[in-house]
Amino acid sequence: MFVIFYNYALSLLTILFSTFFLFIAYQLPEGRSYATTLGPKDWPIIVLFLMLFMGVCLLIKTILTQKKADDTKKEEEVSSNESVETELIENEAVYKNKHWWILASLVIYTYIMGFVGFTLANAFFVTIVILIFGIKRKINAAIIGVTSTVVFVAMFGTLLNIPLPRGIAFFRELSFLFY
Amino acid sequence: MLDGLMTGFLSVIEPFHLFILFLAVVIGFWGGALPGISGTMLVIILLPVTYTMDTTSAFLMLTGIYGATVFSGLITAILFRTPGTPEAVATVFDGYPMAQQGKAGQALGIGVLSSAAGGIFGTLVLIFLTPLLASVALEFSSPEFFALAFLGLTVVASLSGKNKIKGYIGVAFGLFIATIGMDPLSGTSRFDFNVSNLRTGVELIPVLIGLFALSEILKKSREDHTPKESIKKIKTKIFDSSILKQIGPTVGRSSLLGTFIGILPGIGATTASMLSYSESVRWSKKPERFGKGAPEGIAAPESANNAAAMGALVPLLALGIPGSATTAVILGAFVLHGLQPGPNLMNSNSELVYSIFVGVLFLNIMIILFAKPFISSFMVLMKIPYTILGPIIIVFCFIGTYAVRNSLFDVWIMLAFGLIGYFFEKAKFPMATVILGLVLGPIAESELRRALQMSGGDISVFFTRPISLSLLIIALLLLVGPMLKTPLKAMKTNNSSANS
Repeated sequence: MFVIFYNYALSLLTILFSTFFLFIAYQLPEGRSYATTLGPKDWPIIVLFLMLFMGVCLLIKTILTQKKADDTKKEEEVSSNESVETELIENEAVYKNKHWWILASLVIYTYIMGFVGFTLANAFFVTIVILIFGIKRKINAAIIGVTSTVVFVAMFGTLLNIPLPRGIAFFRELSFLFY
Repeated sequence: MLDGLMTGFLSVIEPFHLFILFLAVVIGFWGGALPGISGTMLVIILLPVTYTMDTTSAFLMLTGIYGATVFSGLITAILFRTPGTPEAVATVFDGYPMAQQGKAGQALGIGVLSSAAGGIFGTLVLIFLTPLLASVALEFSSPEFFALAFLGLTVVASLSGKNKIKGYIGVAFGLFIATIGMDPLSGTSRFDFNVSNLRTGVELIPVLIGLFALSEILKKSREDHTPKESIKKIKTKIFDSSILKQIGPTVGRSSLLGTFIGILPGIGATTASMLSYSESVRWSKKPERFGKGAPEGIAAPESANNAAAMGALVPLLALGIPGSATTAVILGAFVLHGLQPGPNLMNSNSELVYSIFVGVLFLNIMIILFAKPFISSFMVLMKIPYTILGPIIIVFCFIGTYAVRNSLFDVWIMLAFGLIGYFFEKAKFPMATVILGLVLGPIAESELRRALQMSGGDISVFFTRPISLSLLIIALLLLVGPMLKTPLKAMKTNNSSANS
C-alpha cells in the first residue's frame, strides 16, 4: 500500500494546491493593455488547470488501480509486490527519524544565522549534525565543526569574497574580524 | 579569418595569457565542482579582479572560468548526485546510477570526453560558422521561441518514464513556480502574498539544491554509515574504445543540438542538456536503460551543455545579444571595459575576438589534459566518511543558496524544496520535470504573450510561420506518439493473433 498511499496523498494535494491557487489567480488584475492577448493571470490559470486535471487523473487512476486489485483479488499480490518495494527502501533506511532531526537542526541553524552570524552558527551546526549522523567521539565532532568553519570562512568569506551572514549587533562586529 | 586566428593564437600563447587561462581553468574546475557555485556566480565574483587587467587577459579569464564551470559541474553530479552547476542536472540521471554500480571512473571519463568533444565542436562552430548561425538565430521571433520552449516541455514525456501523470504534475508545478513574482511584461505581482522576497520570483538554484542535494542528504541520513569496506581509488578512464563507439553518435548529435540551442538567445546550456538527454532517449534502441546508468545518458547532456556554452558566445560576440545568464554577465564585463560586443567588435577589436576564440579552444584541450589530475585530487573528498561529508555538503548547499542573492529567504526556499524532494522521491516522482518547467516556464510564457501581442491576439501566428509550425508539429508528435504506442501495440498484437 506504500505507493498507493503516496499516490492518493499526491493527487489530493495537487487538487487542493491547484484549486487554491486558481482561486487566487482569478483575483489577479486583467492588465488593460492585454485585452486582445494574454494578461498576467492567464498563463498561471492555464498551468493550474493542467495541474488540476492531472491531479484528478492521478486520483482516478489510483482508485481504479486499487479497485482492480480488489475485484480480481490481486490485492495480496499487489501488497506483496509493494511490500517488496517498501522492504527495499526500508532495508536501506536503518534510522527512522534521523532526517527529521537534521531538518530541525537546519531550521534552527538558518533561523539563528540571522542573529549570530555564520561563524558561530556553523561551528555548532556542523558539530551537532555530525553527532546526529553518528560519529562516536564528541571531541572529534567539535574539532571538525570548528576546523570546517575556519576553512569555509577562509575559502568563501576571505578568498572568494562570497558574502556570508554576519548576524546582528556584537556578532556583526565580531564577524568583521574574520571576513 | 586565418590571419585573425593566427593573431589570436600568438596572443594566447603569450606566457601571461597562458597563465591566466590556466588559472581560469583551475578556478572554474574547483568552483564548478562545488555544489551551489554556478558559473554565473564565479564570473560575477571574479569580475572585479579583471578591472586592472588588459582586455585580452580579462576576457580569457572570464570565458575560461565560464567554460570550465560548465564542464566541472559533472563531477559532483556523478559522485554525489549533487550537480555542481545547474547545467549538470541531467548528468545526474545516469551518472549517479553508474557510480552506484561501481563505474564512477568510467562515468567521469565519459563526462570529460563528451564535455571536451562538445566544447571543441561548439568552438569550431563559433569560429567558422558564426555569421551563418547568427543569421539563423536572427530569423527567430517570439512565435518560434514559444514553439521551441513548447518542444522543450514535451521532454516531460520521456523524463517521466512510467509515471507520466506525475511527470505532467511536476512540469505544471515547475511552470507555476516560475510565475511567482513580478510579471515581466506587465509588472503585476503574482502569488507573492506581499512577501517582498517573493516579488523577484523563486530562484532556480535554491529549488535545484533543495530537490536534488538536500533531499538526498536527508535520505542518506537514515542509512547506516559505518565503514564496511575501504573506498576504492577511482581511476578516470577517458579513452575507452568500446565506450567511445557506443557514445560517438550521441556526442555528435548532442554537440550539434547543444550548439544550435546555445546560439538561440535566452535558452542556455541547462535547457540544451535537458533537451539532448531527452533526444538521446528518443533515438535510443533501448530507452529503458536510461536513468539506470546508460553511458549515453552522460554523454548527451555533457556534450550538449559544453557545446551550448560555446554556442551562446556566438550571439554575444556577433550581435551583442547574450545567449545565457553567464554571457549576460560577460556582456556587462565588455561594457565595463569600454567595449560594445556586436558586429563592430569584429572590426574594431578583431585581435580580442580571435583571442577569445583560440582561448576557448585551448580551454577545451586543457579540460582533457587536466581533468584527470583534478578529479584525482577531488577524490580526496571520497575518502571522507559520509558522517562528515554529509554535514559539509549541507553547508555548501547553504552557502551556494545564500550567495545567489545574499538572502536567508532563499535558504528557507531550499529547505522547503529539500523536504518536498524527500517525499517526492518516496512517491517515485520524476523530480527533473519540476526543473524542466521552472527553466522553460518564463521563456514559454513571455514568448507566447509577445507573439500574441505581435499578432493582435491572432493565434494563427504560430501556424502561419514555417519554423514555428514545424516545431509545434514535432512537439505534438512527440507528445501524442507515446500515448498512441500502447493502442498501436495492442492493435498489432490483435492483428497478428487474428492472422495466425
